[in-house]
Amino acid sequence: MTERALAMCLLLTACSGPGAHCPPAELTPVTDEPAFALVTSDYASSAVALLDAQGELLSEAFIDSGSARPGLATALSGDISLPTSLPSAGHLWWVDRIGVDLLGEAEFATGDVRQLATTPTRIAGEAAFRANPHDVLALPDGRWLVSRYEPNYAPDAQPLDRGNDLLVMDGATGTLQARIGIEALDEDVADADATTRTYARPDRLLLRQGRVVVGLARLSPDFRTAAPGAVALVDADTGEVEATLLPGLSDCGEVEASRDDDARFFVACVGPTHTDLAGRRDGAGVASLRVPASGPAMLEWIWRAADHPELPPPTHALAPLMDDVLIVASMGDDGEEPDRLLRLRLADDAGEVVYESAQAFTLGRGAVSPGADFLLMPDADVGVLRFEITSSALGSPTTLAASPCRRLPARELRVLR
Amino acid sequence: MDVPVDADPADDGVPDEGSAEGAPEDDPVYGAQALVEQPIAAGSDLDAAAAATRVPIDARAESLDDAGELMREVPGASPRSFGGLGSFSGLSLRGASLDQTTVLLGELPLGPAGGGAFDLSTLPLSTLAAVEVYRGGAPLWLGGGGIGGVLRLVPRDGDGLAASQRVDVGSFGSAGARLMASAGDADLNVVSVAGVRHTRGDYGYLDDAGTRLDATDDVRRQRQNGQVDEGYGLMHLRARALGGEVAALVTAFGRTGGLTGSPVEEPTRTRQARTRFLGALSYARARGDDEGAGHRFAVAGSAQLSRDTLSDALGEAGLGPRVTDDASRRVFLRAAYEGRGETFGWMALASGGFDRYAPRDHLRAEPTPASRRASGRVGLEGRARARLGGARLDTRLSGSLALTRSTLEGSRADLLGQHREATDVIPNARLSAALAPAPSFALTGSVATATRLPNLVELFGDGAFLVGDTRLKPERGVSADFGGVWRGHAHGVSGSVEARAFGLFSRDLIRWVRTSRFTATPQNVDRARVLGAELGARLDLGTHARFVGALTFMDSRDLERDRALPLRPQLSTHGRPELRANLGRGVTGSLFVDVTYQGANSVDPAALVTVGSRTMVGAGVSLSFAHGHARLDLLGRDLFDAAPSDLLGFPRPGRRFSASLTLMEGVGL
Repeated sequence: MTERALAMCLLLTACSGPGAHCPPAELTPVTDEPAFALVTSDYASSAVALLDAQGELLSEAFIDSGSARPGLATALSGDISLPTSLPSAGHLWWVDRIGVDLLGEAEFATGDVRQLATTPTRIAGEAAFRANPHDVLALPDGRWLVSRYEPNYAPDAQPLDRGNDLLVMDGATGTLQARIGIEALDEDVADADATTRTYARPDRLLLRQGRVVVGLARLSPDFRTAAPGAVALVDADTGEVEATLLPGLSDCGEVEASRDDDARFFVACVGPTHTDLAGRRDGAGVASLRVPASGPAMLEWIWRAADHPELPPPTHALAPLMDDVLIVASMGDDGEEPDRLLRLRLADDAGEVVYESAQAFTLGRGAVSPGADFLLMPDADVGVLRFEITSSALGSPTTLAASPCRRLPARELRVLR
Repeated sequence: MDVPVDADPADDGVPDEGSAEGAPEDDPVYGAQALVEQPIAAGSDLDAAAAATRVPIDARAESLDDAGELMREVPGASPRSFGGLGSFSGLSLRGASLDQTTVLLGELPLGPAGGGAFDLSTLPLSTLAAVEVYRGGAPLWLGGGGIGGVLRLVPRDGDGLAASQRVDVGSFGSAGARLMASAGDADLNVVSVAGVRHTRGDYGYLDDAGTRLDATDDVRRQRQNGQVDEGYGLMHLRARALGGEVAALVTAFGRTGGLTGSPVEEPTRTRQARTRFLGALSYARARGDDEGAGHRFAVAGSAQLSRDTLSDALGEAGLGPRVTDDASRRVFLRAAYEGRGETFGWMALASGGFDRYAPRDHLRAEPTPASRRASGRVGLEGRARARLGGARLDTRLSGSLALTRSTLEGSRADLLGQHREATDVIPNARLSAALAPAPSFALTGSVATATRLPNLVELFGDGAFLVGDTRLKPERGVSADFGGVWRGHAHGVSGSVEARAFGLFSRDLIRWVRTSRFTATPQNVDRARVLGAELGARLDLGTHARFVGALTFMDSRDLERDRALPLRPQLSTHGRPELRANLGRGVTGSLFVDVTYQGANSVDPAALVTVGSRTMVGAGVSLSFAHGHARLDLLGRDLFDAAPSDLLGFPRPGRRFSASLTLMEGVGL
């Protein structure tokens, strides 16, 4: 009996093992220069895939959650994001967000890697703080700014541990140097029943005209209450913060640079989070703003979903095709409405749905190729969608299986060069 | 001929062979929990074909943190813990998830109101006489069971006039004391247990700062927020009355302490507290004769109140501050009847319950609505027994139908006036057979279906980040096993050996899918299967040696992703050889070593992250002196400090020691 049982064990062991038998992601030096980085993640584990200039897959995992033996965390958590702007060429950067609170940097040519904390070393007995970094921006002088989304609710927190700010780091050493507080844009929001504190919650970062553009979520601790939408311009030297309100919009954390105009940027606003697609219409939208030499950003154009009931509300994944044409995703809801991709024309406020995913919550941030000849959009259901661009119009998408072995859903894609 | 049967709940679970012989006719029954079966070798008195293992709680077992640690002795059982004493502990059976294990106290459900995995750490072993584990399908008498199976906790029972006191001290500032007293006779007996436990919980761990690609910043630290204080009590009264037995059971548990969480950002100021009160009343009556014919009837009801609070005003543990106070109530009623002839028999079961779950976050102005679930179940089992030559065959076919209705009455501003509900009709069935070619050996097999209802958070959300979905379907599973059980005496060896092959096929598994930065929603998206084999032994080798061992092999597969399920090692083994000796002058001693091995397993659904195999070694010495009136237990666990984590990011205490002194007074000692 025992022999038979053991024989069965051996047979079954031979058939399968605990792993997926994918080639290990060991930060192997990359010989072909990658043009795009793609995050694939099921929110439990993640990988970063590399694509060439034509959008073809070079590696489905330059690094993944299994790239090192697990300890308290894994090499990559399930919640990583790529910076909006590439801090340095030849490197992969990622932000490992809440609960891990790290910046990661890996050099393609060597596979050398750094992981840098975005919070200071804790003092014994100090309250825990989950900074939830959302983006990193390299300044020309070698400093980095890290947007820390979460405020620290402990009144006795260290000065560098306050959160809800831009953390200033030394790019060479990773040392935490200072913080630029955005608390001035916190706001108490009152309704009939109560007054709720909302926090600025800096999100995505851009450098425009030497000034730092900061998308702001302006949400309460439970994310249910939002202050009016706004973006800020920050002087990284003086710490001066100047806000521009986006009337009728809320939760405006995503910012994206114009392709053709160094002073221009776009912002996407999600609207209310804990609601369905219809409820999201009241606050969702996109806007175009201009960065002046001084003073707050100037609002040039605004598209409020509430003003366009004929189209699903644009919420996230901005991809400017050219200065007067934007691609933006519309988040669906719990299975009733799928995600959709919209094409908006600024000149005449016209819009159309150019793609509809199979279900909701699948479309992530994509990128237009440097030559503006194709658009790559991650769709968690199918991989990466490739749209050819002709005269600011999108063709029918083809699909790239971005994680053929790991089968991780595609979430976010950025240009590397 | 009708005979009285007294199945002692505190025995080792071996059916009392021939104990009905010579009993007076038509005598009222006392203490009946089950009719005595003909001597088919089995792990359960309730169903000879069930894949069941019973583990008695002795003084050594009482030294363990919770029932989860004890489960290593059970084949097919995989305990998982989030940390040290006071941390959540759950049980996976045959590769099923933790919330697919049904936990019963006697025959009454213990799980959280509205569903979810039961936290075994809230049941001090001092309050229990034994634990029984039913893998796969469970007998209808227990309500059918979960997809993984049933963990049945047998409450401590009276043992005549007796009293004992016990004090424990251990590593990481652990200390405890408990008092137990029992009194009574065959007509009325009562046992009371009360105890307290404390730990600083400041065990060490390697803090890698979350930078797994950079070992230069690794440093050894101690947990800062693991202190826990607990108090518990149990009173169990049984009385002969109304031609049967009336029993009353009251248990209470309270805990307060810190929340350890993930040490990457370890909370230091977050506190949690839990209280639970359960009261139950039951009546049972049984009659049987020496040909196996008879009947039994049982009716029981229970009420459970629990309250869980979490104070995290600084948002240390999650996404934003929370100060929660969640209250739940559960009322459960059950009636069962079994009639048994010499060849055919039948059983009927009816049960009903009402759960109410009322979460509250004091930091939110809007109230979170309470959700409710009402459920009813009826079941019928047919049984046939036959002789095939010299072999005995016992087969059972059961079916049950459950109806549940879950509702959420919107009281929060955004849900005001909304009435959300989910209704499920759930049929289940089980076919089992035991063939005993000899009194000490039986071949057993069973096929069963089981269901796990979406819990109330999965249906309605938590009012914060989890968005429920009332369209969820129940998780469904089909389990099958086949094997053999030997139970008896041979060549100086007595005890039991069980070996089985099993399969578990699940579908509509509920997985939380993140839907935005701040929300996740459950979906019926997964299918899985687990194939495996399990081997268990509890053997006494003469009078001076004992061996307890368990081996589980599992090949698990996530059929959607086509890879191994996380946290399911292919091979798990546990062995505990023990030597006992009479040292003279009223002193007896025992010495044991236990070795637990777990094979490598992935920790994530994508199977990218693998933890290696790990082995834990423990040892212990027990001395019983003063002619059994005193006992000293010294226990060392994880002596080589392997400190394996059951879950990523939640280190467990490694090497630790404990000492216990128990003083006993009582008739028979």
